[in-house]
Amino acid sequence: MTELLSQRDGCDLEPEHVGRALFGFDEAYCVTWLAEVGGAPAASTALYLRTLCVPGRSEQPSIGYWAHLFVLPEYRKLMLYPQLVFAMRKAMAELGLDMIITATRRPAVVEGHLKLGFKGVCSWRVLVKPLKPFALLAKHKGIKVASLVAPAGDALWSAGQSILTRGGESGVELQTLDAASIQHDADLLDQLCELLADSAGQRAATDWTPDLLRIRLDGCVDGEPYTAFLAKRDGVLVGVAMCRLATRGNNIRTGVILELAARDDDRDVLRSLATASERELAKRGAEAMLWLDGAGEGTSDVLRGMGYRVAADEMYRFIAFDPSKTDEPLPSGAPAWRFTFLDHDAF
Amino acid sequence: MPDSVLNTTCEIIGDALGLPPVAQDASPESIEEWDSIAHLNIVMALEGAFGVTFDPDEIPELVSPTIIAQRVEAKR
Repeated sequence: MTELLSQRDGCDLEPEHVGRALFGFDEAYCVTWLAEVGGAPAASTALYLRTLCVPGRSEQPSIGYWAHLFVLPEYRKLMLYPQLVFAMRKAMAELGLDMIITATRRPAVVEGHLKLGFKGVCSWRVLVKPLKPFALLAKHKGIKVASLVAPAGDALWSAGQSILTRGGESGVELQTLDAASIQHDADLLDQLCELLADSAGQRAATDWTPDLLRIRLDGCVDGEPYTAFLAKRDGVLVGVAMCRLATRGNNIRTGVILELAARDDDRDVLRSLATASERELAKRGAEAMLWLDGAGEGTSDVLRGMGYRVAADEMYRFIAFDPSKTDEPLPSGAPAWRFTFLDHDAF
Repeated sequence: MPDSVLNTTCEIIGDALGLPPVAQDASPESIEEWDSIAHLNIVMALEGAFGVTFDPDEIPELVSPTIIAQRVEAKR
């Protein structure tokens, strides 16, 4: 899997990190298929197993979240892709899955999956905020002049943004933690799960359990650690942000906000957490911030008010394969769902 | 093998590829549109039309209408 995913991502991944991203191959949480040709890895796919919480539905669906489908280019004539899909489909009954769902940003992949019987559920945009616009311009366009003026220009930009985004008084105490340290705090895991369920409200969302959250925070495929920001009021958890750094095309260092949630969608708390995330990731070299805009209007409004804008070329289509012919179809339309990069770390 | 199964198979494959019914000896090598995604569509369409189920291991072997029709007949 490390060899395959390294080729997919165009970098040298570490087996330890790949293992963590695949939940330690613990079949209670993640099932992986590896196709070999002549004993060499040729293709892969995986399902992350979890339960959805769909308000109003009499039985909550067990789902496989589909990820890591990849076929090495030299084997693409061998029909490994259909074999893997059939293997997953066949495993659904054995794994007790009601449906397979996935979110993807590649239109050709979406089109292919729709032909397989997947149905479109909704779409989400990605919001982006430049933290170092001159450095971004220099990297993105390869403009040398921009790279010369970038440090001074970005420092000025940052100072201006600090004034513009000076947060209102949220009255909360913020705490920064390496997410790995949350994994051993059972009480905090309980509180986080409760907070995420509360944030979903009447929307369909992942049913986060302490065990699922613990294994989810184990690490991402490129080994970058997750950082959590906790907002507490009188010692009680009222909000959380989780983020990480990722390196994208043109070596652009990107801060990804995986999760941003506050009790009762308290906008001051959301703003404080987003500001803290930005500052911390900027310190670590982030040149832009990204957020999958799937957590509802409140969060979206707060981030747009802080300068986040729709990334023109980034849209995730959420699709589901539900062979159950149930009378309780999944709700459709983005407002009916809460989905963030915590659900799937697509970067 | 009844001609009807073979003919229907040629029609299903053509349909899935957005083409007229394909020749009985057609294959992914001879038809550019017959790539791995199209192959998956073909196999699913065959399952639906003939009421049969293919095993994942069989998928790479279903590469011509003649072979497919033989497999379908064997499963009916």
